[in-house]
Amino acid sequence: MEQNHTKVLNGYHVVFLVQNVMIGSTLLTLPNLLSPAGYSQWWFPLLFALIANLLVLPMIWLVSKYKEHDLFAIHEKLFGRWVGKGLNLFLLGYLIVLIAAICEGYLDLIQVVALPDRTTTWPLFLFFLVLVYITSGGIKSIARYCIMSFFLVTWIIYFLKWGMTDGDIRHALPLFNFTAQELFTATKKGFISMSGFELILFYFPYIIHQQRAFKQASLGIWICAILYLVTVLTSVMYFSIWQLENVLYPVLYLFNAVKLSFLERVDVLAISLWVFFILTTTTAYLWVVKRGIDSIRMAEKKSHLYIVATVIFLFINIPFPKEVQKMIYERVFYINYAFIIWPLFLCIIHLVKPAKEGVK
Amino acid sequence: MKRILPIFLLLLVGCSEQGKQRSVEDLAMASSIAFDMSDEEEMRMTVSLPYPSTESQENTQTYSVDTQLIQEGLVKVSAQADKMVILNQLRTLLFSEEFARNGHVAEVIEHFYRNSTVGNNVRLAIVKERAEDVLRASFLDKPNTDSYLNDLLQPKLHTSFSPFTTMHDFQYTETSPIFYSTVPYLELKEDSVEIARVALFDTGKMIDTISRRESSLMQALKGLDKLSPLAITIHEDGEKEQVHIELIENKVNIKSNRQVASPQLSIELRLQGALYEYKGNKDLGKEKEYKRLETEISQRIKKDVEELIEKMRELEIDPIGFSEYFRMYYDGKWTEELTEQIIKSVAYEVTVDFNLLNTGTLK
Repeated sequence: MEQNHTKVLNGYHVVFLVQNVMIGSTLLTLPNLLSPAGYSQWWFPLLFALIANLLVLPMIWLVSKYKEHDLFAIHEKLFGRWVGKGLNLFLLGYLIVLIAAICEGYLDLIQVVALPDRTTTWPLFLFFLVLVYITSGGIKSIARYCIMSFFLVTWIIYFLKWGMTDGDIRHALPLFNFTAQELFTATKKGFISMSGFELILFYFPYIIHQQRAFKQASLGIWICAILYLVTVLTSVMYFSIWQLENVLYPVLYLFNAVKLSFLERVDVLAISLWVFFILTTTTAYLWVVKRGIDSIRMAEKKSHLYIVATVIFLFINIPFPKEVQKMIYERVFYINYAFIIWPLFLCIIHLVKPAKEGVK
Repeated sequence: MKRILPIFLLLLVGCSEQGKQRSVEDLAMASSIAFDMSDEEEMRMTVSLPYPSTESQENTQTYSVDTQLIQEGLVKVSAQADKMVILNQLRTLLFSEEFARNGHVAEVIEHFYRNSTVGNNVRLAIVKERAEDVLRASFLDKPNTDSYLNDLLQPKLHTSFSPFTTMHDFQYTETSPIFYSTVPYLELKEDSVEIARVALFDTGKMIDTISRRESSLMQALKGLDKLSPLAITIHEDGEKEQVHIELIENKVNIKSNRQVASPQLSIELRLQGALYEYKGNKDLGKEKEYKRLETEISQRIKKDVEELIEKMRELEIDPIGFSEYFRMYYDGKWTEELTEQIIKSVAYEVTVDFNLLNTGTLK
């Protein structure tokens, strides 16, 4: 379906790619991640969206200087072939661990909620089967899948109604009564929910109307922020501060509050449906990893995808001790922050670097 | 073939998983659990397991075990029952008064709250004597005790004096520095169970109960907009008048002066109701006497509200959540000490405005 450097992504594709890749598993734990800020946390998604929107600026500026190339190629152009390839290799390692972290985080939840009496190896295998299938269709297939899963899953936001009616709106008065330290901790832990928009660095060459990409990306970011806002606001209304701090998956408990005569456990339904969001996030990252290997080996092969998927699958199944695993996955999220700011440096390097070295 | 392969694999996986699956027939879904004190160390846990279709005469099986840990207790019950006990369908948790007064309710709730297979809408109730007796009682005209209890503890207009505490509500009020928990208090009668009073909690321990009437006013102050019917007795000039009011619409407006150091509250209740029954000497056809009745009812409710607040002040608890009106403006971390301070020192002014909508279809 996909042909190299053929422009395939229209405006809708870009909007949904940006926003659906952002909503991964973190939405389920977001109120808990933001709990250092107490009840004031509900407006944090707005703050995050603003920061993300500002961070998109240098990214779009950079890639619009290299309209035909993705970040892997830009690295090689800016730093020379070998340093660039080294950087790309590091990036690939990071992305692989990141995909593993997302999958594992979701699997842990599924294990707790839906399949307490089974191992998750088979579900994981099935998950990977679908993952590879979607990814092999190329970026347009991923974008279409994003649109589809958005409409398939976002309606469950309706189930927040119960939490809202049971909740207490008085919790949400903006008091700003947190210390700078708490603000920092909440941002540090919570901003991870916004990561995903940076992938535009990789699929930018495929966008048809590149000059509109910034507008479309911003739209995606704000749709996502509104979804976050509704969820976090409902949590703030529904829970006490202790519950926000101690309940690991607050969104699960919000769905738990739903009272329907024909459906008992909405939370299990919601968590199972969540697989669509996890798939959209991981499939986009997987596609980037595949592109990365293509660029390092300077050849486009389907087999790269299968190899990468197998590596990640095996990586998840390595029985790391829990603390090592936790350490690795936490570090990955810090690298993610570094990566989001990285284009800013690239912009500076681009400006400093004299134009003669073959830079367009 | 290439396209069919994934589907084929999927089916294959489905088959392999089938063998491990537990079938519904092997499971017993606990629907109510009662907790009593056994001795100092152990608690007595009574689990009721409804069997939807059975050839036995009883369609519910009830097992009691003495245990220190809840999960251990469930394993012990499974050892007696012919099926494996699971909690996915748990609806009701009952605690004896003794158990609640010893402060064990919070531990039990925290255990179940942690368990993701238990829904958060499980309803709680305190039982006057032994909670076990309620589950073991047979109510001749009820299909089974579990569904009877479940229906009884669901919110309904006529019983809306009851707080209908779910597990989430209890956990919420227990962990919040503002609120104090309230739980319906049941009494076992000869052939029924009655929500007789409402139990009050202070930091995990049951400390007292209040009457249904007081609880109804408490619900009004908490902002419930439809109240249970009120029976009011007015003593005016030595004469006794009785009124029964239904369909009461409630609007509550509470304002604080936002100052924790010298807290003040103005509480305004606006009630509307229909007069269903009246015993007294007033001629309600006359506008003047009709108005006078309204004023008398307002004054009576005002007095009751003030008495209720004084009672809460004596007990040093805040189940209505008056402190929230100060916390919502308070810059800093709110603590339980601040709530206590508010309750002890708050000056309040109550105004009740009762509006009689009609007196039925007769003049």
